Amino acid sequence: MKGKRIAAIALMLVAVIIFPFYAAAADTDSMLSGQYRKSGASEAYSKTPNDVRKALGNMGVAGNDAKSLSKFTPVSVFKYITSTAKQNMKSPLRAAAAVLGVLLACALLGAMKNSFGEKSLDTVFGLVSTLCIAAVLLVPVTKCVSFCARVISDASRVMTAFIPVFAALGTASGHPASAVVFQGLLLTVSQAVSQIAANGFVPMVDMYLAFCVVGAISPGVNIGSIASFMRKIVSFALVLCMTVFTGILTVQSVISQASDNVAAKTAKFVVGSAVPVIGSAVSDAVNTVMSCANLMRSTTGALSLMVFIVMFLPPVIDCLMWMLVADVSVIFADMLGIGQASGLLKAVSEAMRLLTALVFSAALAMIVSVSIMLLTGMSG
Amino acid sequence: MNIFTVVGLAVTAAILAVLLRQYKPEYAMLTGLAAGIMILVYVVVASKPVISEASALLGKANIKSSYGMILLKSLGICFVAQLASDACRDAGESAIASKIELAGKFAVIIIALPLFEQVAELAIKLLS
Repeated sequence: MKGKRIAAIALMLVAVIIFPFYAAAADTDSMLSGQYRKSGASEAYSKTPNDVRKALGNMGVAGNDAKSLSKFTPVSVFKYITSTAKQNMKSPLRAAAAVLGVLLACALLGAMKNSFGEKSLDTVFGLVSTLCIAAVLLVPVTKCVSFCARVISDASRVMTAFIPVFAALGTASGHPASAVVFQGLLLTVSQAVSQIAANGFVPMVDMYLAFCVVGAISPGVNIGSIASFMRKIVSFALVLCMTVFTGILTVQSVISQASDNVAAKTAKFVVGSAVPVIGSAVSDAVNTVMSCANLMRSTTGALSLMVFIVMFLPPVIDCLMWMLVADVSVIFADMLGIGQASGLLKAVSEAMRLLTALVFSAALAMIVSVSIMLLTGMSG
Repeated sequence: MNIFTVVGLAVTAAILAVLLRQYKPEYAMLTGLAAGIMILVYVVVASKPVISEASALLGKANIKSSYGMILLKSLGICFVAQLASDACRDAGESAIASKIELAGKFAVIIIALPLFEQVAELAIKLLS
């Protein structure tokens, strides 16, 4: 008997030595990456414009790799801003040089026109110099306006692509009420922003510019009050839309969060009590699954935020550059006493201010709605 | 440019005009007109460096050369029209002087028509 026991122990030791088994925890990174791809986030990311994907790629962010999102740091964003500013600087600087050239030529030639300086022919010469400045400045400015409208339209398309991913991940992470609410809200935001900006605000900015050009060229035709009225309408409408949007978003997020908390706790209690013996283990497993889905949702949300930030930065920088060019030109025109040109340049500066406010509002609407959706999920 | 030449010519012409007005007013007007034309031609020839500097400035600022030509031509038209208008006013013909100014304005507008067209196209594009 003793011999058999010793033989069994020896056999076990030999088996352990010859046939070792290794046990380890699952590779979470690859599992998360796989889940991330299967959630549809990669497909939604493929709907973003190529230049945005390229810019994010330069920062080290890949749309199909969750780990790469950590490379989106303040340093990389600052480098992107600097490179975009350098790239977008050429056209405004060229236009600034052209406008300053015309202003200096007018001032130089104006010194020679003193013989008719106070007479009727002076008005005509002022008109010609203002036309020169309008021709030089308006072509690139209208391109800037079209670029901003195109970016807003692209951003709403990207938001529409991400919405089903958010909804699915929100439901899987135990926030069904929030998923439903935010799905509708984000869809409304993306469509409303696109339609209102493209069909409402941008045409009004264009009309404001057109009226100001006509007013500058024909000082006898006093349409300054119409132009000022249009500027006030656009500003008021922007403030109203943002206020209403923020109010609705806040109320909806509070209500849906409370509903989700109750639903999640009820589900865990039912699972824990209804399943015999292993009920608590199943309840804990449900918790784990929901946490994993929450992580997916946060990652996807973070990716979409990065996409929106990278998309909206170039038009904002462009508008700010043109605003700076117009303001500097106004200073020179006032210094040189070229009043008619100064009026036109002030109008261009105001139009760029309106456009910057519009682009900022569209960017904030999208970024804030995604951020609130993410924060609602995290606190649950 | 020699300013003393211009001043001497102008003062001489003025004195001649005053003398001739007592006997032949029409010759006084012609004297004033001739002196004005001579001074204008002298100034234009002397201001060639200024004009070429302004053109170079516009070229460096990457502005189309046609815009610079329009500016210079309109300035030239303004000068010529003003000279003729002043001569007519001196002769007491203010109605003719106004017509010359009107003609000068139309000439400038015709010269600047391409600019008008371009800006009008831009304004229409913005409105549409």
